[in-house]
Amino acid sequence: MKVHVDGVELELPAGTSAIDAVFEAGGDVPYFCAHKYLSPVGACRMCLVETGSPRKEKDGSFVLDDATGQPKIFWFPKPMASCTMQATEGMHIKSARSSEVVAKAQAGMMEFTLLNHPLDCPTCDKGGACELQDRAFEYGYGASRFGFDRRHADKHYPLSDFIILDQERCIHCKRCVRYFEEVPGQEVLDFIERGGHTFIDTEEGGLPTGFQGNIADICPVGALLDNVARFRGRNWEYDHTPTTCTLCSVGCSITVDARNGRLERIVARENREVNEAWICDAGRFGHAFASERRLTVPLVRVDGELQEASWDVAIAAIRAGMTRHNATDLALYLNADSTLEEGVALEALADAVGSPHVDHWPRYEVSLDAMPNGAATLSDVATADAVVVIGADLGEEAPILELRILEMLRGGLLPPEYAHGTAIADLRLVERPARKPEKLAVIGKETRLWQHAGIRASSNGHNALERLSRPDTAELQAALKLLTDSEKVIIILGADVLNGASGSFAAQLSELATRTGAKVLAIPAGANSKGLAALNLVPREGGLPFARVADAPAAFISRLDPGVRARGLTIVHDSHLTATARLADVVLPAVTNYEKRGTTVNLEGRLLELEQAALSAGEAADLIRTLTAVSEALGVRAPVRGLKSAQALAEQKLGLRLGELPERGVIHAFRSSHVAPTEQTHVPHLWTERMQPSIQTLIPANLQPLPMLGAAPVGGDD
Amino acid sequence: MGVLDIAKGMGLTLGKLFQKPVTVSYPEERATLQPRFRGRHVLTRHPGTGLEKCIGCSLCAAACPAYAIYVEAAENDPASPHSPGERYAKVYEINMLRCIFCGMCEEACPTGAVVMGNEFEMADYRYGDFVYAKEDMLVGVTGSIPQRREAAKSGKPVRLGFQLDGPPRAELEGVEYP
Repeated sequence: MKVHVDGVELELPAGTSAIDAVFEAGGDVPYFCAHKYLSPVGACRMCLVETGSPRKEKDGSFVLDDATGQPKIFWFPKPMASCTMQATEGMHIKSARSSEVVAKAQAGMMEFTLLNHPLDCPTCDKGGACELQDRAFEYGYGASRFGFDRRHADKHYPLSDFIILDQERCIHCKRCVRYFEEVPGQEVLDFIERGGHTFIDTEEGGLPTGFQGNIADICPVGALLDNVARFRGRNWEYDHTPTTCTLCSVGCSITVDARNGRLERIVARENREVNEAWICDAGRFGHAFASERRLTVPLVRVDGELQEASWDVAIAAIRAGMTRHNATDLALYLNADSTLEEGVALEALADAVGSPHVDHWPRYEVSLDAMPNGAATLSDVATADAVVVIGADLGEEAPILELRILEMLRGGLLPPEYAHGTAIADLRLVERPARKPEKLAVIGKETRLWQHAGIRASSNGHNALERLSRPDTAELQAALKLLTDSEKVIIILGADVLNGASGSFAAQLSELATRTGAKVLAIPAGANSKGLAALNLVPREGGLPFARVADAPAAFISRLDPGVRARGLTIVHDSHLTATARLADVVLPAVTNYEKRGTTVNLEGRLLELEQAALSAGEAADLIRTLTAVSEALGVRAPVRGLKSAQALAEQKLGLRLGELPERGVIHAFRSSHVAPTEQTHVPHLWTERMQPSIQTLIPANLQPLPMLGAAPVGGDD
Repeated sequence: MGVLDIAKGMGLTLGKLFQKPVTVSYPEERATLQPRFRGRHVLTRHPGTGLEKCIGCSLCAAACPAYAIYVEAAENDPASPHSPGERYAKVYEINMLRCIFCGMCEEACPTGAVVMGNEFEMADYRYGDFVYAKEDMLVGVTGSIPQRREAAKSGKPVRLGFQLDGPPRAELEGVEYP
């Protein structure tokens, strides 16, 4: 399809919107209401362009221009909104770059948009990263001709604990309303009243928890703001670090915003193949632990009391403590959200000292890597014909996976990609999309996903799979029929079925997958369980699993909180003084995953990079450096001494080149090398107490208007 | 050059001997400054309500070429607000050692809160004493940190080493130099 944009001829795929045609031609169109992953509605009228198309005679030939002999372009009489206009064969588009009319229309539209906007940019948290601010600067007149007083509305209206609404700043782009309807499928927000009186509100008050934070990201103005980061810093003052979230196994792309060594805000970053542009509330708001009550120096137990010490003193204390033990007695346990490099370092140290007690937690006892149809990716889930979720509480295990399933239910349309990025307006997406609940079967306990599922079956534990293979109820029969009858099917397995699952479970699942042609997506227990399972990080011959840490002769516990100590020397490596750390002999300060460089593996087997945010953590160290210190205390030469040597060793062991990954990550077929009993069950839990933000509760419910200066302004105030 | 020229030069010198001297014996005598002299910053208040003009927007810090300003904002308590509106500066610090007194902060300020005053006597002994906080710069505070320390020690009021030829400029709302 050939399209002419500002005189440049382009070859574009059919279905491209006019706005994407202009961007593809290297031009620019201002827009507020269009969003990459939302339906285009043409609400803001900023993306006006002039368009015209050739017209055909009855015999199929083009109407020709008498003067030039070329097909005559019939222009629309007025500028058109380019986000809702589809580019067609031979269409001519003029943006503000080549058309005075468009430039004037856009500047005029900007004047209307700013008509009621308060222009309190200095106090607004969006200032500096505001789409309205930028577009007003680029496309506005710079002055308004409207002299009357602006609309006054509630400037401090908390929609929930996390989201605060400023009704004066709202420009009625409807992104937030469409987001809730189209993405998490919750009809909570809507426009109330009409014209200049329009405001957004909820009916019952409050927003549903789970994915509400995303509206603060997509709001093009400062109307919806993150209440946790309220007034913590201006946008240009933050140190922005693009990294990966490791609260669950999805591995969403995030940007960590820090100021003065404190983590103040987390915003979503686009990754088409993982989280699109959305992250969950836990990932966005649950970062209080990264800057509060951190351990910044090692602690050593002296006369029964933990006392602050230097790393050298801590190493000496470990050495002294280990004189009562063999080096092989030291159990090594790490959290399953540790990076792949850290896992490699711990495995290497365990090999070097010959300790059989090695474990990572949380994990399951079963390896489901050898499934007949391969592992499913998140894009597979979004474009599947049917999904069967067994024993998973996605809200606790992998929230974004829930959004991808809902995307499948509304048609599974992934927006196309152009040279300028994801399509700004995908015309196939519609407002208030019809969902197809019959494509989703949920088997297990009642969760948030139930309301979207056409087939629901109550079940408990891992016999759910057996019951699905030999259905005993009408619902299970329907679920099995859905699996067998649909073309692209995905089976998603959660903690409820994977806990305590054994080899026979894998065989059963493999048999079911062969029978139905389904791909399998097992949600790993920890954020990086999939990567760590590829290493030998399970109890070896005669070793104790993490569940029996209390029986270990001596233990090194990295960022895990079992609440008990080992029989002998207990070394705890954690970012906070946890219950376990309080019992320990030596406590070494750890960095959080926001401050690490390394690689994590998400539930698809996708390698994603972690970057180091500028947080102040005193003398805290990551696991690799801590293990170097521990090996020094043990008198062993540390096999891995830094990130680079860990990556070199990982390349040797796994055949992977870490450290130079593309932004979206790469999928690698991981194979669990070692499986061992865990002796305890994993209860997935996304929000923990230390993640709870301390939200300023200064504002009482009966808010009094603040004293304003002097008399109310008469006439224009710009 | 002839004798006449030398006599002319000497004559000029002789003439100057009998004129009133331009120099002042500072600090015993006060130097006269122009009102537009850019000295230590003043954080002004709204007349009437007495609320701080500063809303903690950090634009002064963004405009500062010497990175001398640090602002931390917070939410106003509606019962006893510091400034009109929702936001106020909880922390407002200027490092006077870094400051080059260019006045860009004053130009950037959307509310006219930070204004270059006329005080300049800030010499002190420790680096930390050059960081001026809000309570050192709010209108009504006369003198620099060392001057006020000296005044507190001696029990005498702060004595400024300068005077203005007329009132301070209009932007310095509420500022009076003794």
